[in-house]
Amino acid sequence: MTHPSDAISAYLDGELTAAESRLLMAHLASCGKCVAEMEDLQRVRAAIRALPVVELPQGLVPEAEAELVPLRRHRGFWMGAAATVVAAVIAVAAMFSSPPQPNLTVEDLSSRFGARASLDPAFTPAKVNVIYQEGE
Amino acid sequence: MESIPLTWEEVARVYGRKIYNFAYRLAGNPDDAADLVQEVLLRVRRGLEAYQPGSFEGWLWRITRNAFLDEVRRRNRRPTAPMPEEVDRWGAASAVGADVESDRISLGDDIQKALLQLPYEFREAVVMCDVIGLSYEEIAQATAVPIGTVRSRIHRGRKMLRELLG
Repeated sequence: MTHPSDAISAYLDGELTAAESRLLMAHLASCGKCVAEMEDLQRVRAAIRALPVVELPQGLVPEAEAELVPLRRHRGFWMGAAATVVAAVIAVAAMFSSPPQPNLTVEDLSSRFGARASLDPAFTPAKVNVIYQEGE
Repeated sequence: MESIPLTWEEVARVYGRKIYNFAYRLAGNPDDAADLVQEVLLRVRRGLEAYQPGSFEGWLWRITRNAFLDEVRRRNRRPTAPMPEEVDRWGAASAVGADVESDRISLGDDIQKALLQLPYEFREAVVMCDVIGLSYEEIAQATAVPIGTVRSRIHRGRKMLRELLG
């Protein structure tokens, strides 16, 4: 079996096309190893994104403190990605009349990763002495 | 469609903190990060007049990356090898508030230390993606490599971090 490798990270980042996402979902539905890898990578990714924002030293840039600028701009992007995930999962669900593994269904994948996408820390970056806007 | 800052002061206000965090996560200490912000803003000031409309993010992060690498070369030391006290100092120098859970701070330190152990190309790609929030295309523009290479670096970088974090 050929494993998708870096497609997993690209999927988590919303960087796969719809067709690529469908292929990955189909693979995940029959490959517990890749599902486990996706879960591991999702944890690592979320941990990095939860790192606290480090504030600029005062006076380093002009009037920096007056600006309300988000450090990350994942929110809108991930909203789109989450929608893609849902669409992909629905499409894959239609492809499998019977799940290839008794303990792993496309719905499982949806609940694991679709839900996590909406809970990703990128939606709500660490609020450490920072005021955020709702996107750029 | 992103708006393009027109003056270096606007670039400083809008992107200063991002540049600082980028450098902080790459270098692991506040002094290098502050130096980089000043150097990048100087280069932006010089380069804005010649800037051609396009991907401003790609342009800015290319400048930032090059400034970082130039500084590393100038000091003739590897960015992957901060002194231990520099890593320790990070905890005290960061803007983490008193109300943040101690275990979270500890985890952040662990992640920072793990980041510093990654080969530069992988660390850079992961930081640009997960700390700054750049798209793969923007990272490719900033680092002058194909998107497929960016994708591979991010994936391999995360896998290395997974191993390092246990």
